[in-house]
Amino acid sequence: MSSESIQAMAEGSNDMEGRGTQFQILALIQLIVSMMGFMFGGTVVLGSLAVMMGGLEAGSWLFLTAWFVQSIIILILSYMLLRIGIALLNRDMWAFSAALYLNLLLVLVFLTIGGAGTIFATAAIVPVVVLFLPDVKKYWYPSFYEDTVPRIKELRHALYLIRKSPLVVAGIVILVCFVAIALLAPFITTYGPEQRIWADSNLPPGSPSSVEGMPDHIWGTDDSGGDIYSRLIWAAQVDLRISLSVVIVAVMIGTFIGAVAGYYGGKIDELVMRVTDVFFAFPGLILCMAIVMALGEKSLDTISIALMVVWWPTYARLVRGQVLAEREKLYVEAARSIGASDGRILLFHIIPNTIQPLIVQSTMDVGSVLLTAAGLAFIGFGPPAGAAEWGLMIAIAQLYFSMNQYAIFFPGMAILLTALASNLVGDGLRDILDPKLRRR
Amino acid sequence: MKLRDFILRRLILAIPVVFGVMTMTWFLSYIIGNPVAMYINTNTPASAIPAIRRAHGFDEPLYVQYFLYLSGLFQGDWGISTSTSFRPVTEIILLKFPATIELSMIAMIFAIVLGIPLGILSATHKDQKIDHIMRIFALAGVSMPIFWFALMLKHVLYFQLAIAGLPHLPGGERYTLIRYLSFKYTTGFLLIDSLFFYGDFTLFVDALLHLAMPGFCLGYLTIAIITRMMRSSMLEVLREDYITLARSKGLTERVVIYRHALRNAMIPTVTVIGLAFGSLITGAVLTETIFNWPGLGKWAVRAIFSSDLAAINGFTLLVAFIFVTANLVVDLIYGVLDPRIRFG
Repeated sequence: MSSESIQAMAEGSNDMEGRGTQFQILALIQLIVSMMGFMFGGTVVLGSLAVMMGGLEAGSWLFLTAWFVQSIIILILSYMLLRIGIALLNRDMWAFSAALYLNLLLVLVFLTIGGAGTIFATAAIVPVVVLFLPDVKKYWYPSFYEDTVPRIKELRHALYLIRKSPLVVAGIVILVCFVAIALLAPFITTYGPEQRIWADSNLPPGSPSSVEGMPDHIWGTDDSGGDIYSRLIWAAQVDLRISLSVVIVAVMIGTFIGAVAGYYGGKIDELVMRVTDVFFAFPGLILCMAIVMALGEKSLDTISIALMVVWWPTYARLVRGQVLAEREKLYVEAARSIGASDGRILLFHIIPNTIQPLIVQSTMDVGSVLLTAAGLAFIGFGPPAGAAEWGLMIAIAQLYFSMNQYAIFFPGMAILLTALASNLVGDGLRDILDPKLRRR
Repeated sequence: MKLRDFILRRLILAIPVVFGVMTMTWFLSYIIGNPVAMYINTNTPASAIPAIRRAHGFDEPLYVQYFLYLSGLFQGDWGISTSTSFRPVTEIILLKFPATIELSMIAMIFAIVLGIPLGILSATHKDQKIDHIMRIFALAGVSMPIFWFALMLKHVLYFQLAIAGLPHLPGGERYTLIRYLSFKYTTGFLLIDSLFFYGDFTLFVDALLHLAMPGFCLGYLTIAIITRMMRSSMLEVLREDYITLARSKGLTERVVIYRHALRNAMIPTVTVIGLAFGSLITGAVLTETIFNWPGLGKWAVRAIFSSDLAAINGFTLLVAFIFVTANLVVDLIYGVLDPRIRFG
């Protein structure tokens, strides 16, 4: 700690009496914000649950689920902010930086909701402003600064390394483009996902529509007159959602199970390892086939569930190995000796130190999950014919293979590019994130 | 640990996995799915269903059912495939298995013959133009949707050439059906049958041509995996001290790489080759449907469309057994090649 910060702290403790009210106001605002978060989150959770119970029109489930998840996140954040507000009253050092981060996070979540969320977001930014009032800042900022600078340096070094390798940059650019295209689909497509003009079937790229007033088919049409370009972009939404959600859920399940197995060892560990052994005895696609078959319903949801079931053991193995190596280290011993609970040690000490291989693996798996999902849809497990999904588009177009190759070429290219990008990024990140390799 | 102990220990460790695999398939098709569906169709009268349940033991408690299932598996009763004229699953597997194995073997040969030299080339020319090309080639292989690649190959090498009137590769099946009509297999492997049992060389060549495109298509992923593995392990080995020593002795680069480095660099590659069997069989499901290859994969896909639970179950079991065996063999070879593993 530098001399200024010590001085600042000393000053802080000297005229604590004078600034006591300011800290109390800060804590009060923090508590009010957390209460508002509780109210908002609770209302939206109950409201969306009520609508779900009452039955809903088709298509709105997506928004409802999104709201539900967002409000749950807000509830969790509000609870954490409540604890922080209490800690602020006691002037705990950690509470200041935590308040900074969590309030900003809350603002972000509120902003994604839009509408009334913006008002709440402005309310949540107030504690941040108060934190940076000169008097309050003097109390907590110096030690926070000392804490953060090395982290920012490390981050900037990683960013520099990423910028320096063209392949990673290319991968990131492709991925970002695909995500942007998927999000902007309603604005850049010329046709709907399942809109067809039967008179236009099997047209080559660039041909005009036979119906007056309809836009041109930039990349041609498929066998039933669907516009390939538009369907491809609509399908990007579906495919990216599958692969991202599968990877996220599998990472969460796998990390939890692997961390518990590695940390406690013994019988739990033995059991988990035998179970993952069994999962590894099946090739991914085949096990997915069997699971979808057993679930009995051929849809994108069952494909997602099957992929999640198939993918978690990879992460469980990975995390378990890492945790085994970390748990004997000195910092874990230190955390234990000051009385940290097992959950806290795992969540805040061990897992952050094991996360790098996890990031690499999950980045690369975005591509492999996409490939497997598309393969499953191609075999015929996916949504019913007509839906916009890359694998399914190829499967249908394959029947009219000799007349129309464009309907196969473009969706396949999209799959290839996405998988390639995720592999590029994962490959590059492995070299960049490995601290042993990077400082050379 | 002695080699014998190591092998024994590894064999014993495989037993719970095999049981786990059987339990898993049982769980999937008998708990989540409806096992009775295997034995009934739309024409079955509803009154007959309880009798069917009783006849196959589906009204027993679960543990008895589990035991019945396991004993059935061991006795070769893997159920009846409703989509393949109600014949036993084991019989069909025996019939279709050679075709798939033949295809996988050709793919594996492609992968080994191309992958290892490409990997060495990439490692010895690190960061040069040829290395970049090889890396992109390998990366594309890992991220290639195999069904799309198969269709594109078929489009270029079959349709386009055929339309242009040029000599072209055949686009599907195991041999030219029109020329050889029905064919009686002895071993089921067409390459072996045609040469040793029929002595028909033209048929052999025909079969080889038919294997070329699906074989390469199926092997591309494995080529990519082997190239990447070979490159990284070769680079690692080339950094070792004994390579520096060999170079400082004045040995030529050729001898250093092929005599000294290659042997140790091959160890991880052998593992990858063994593990690639799993991906080959997965790929076979997709490749066979496109090239109309009368193997297990195509049969399984057909079974899916007619909701043939027993066939899928049998196929999953078989693939898992192959995969477990391949892993076991890889581990054993690894233990023999690298004594450090045995003591670890």
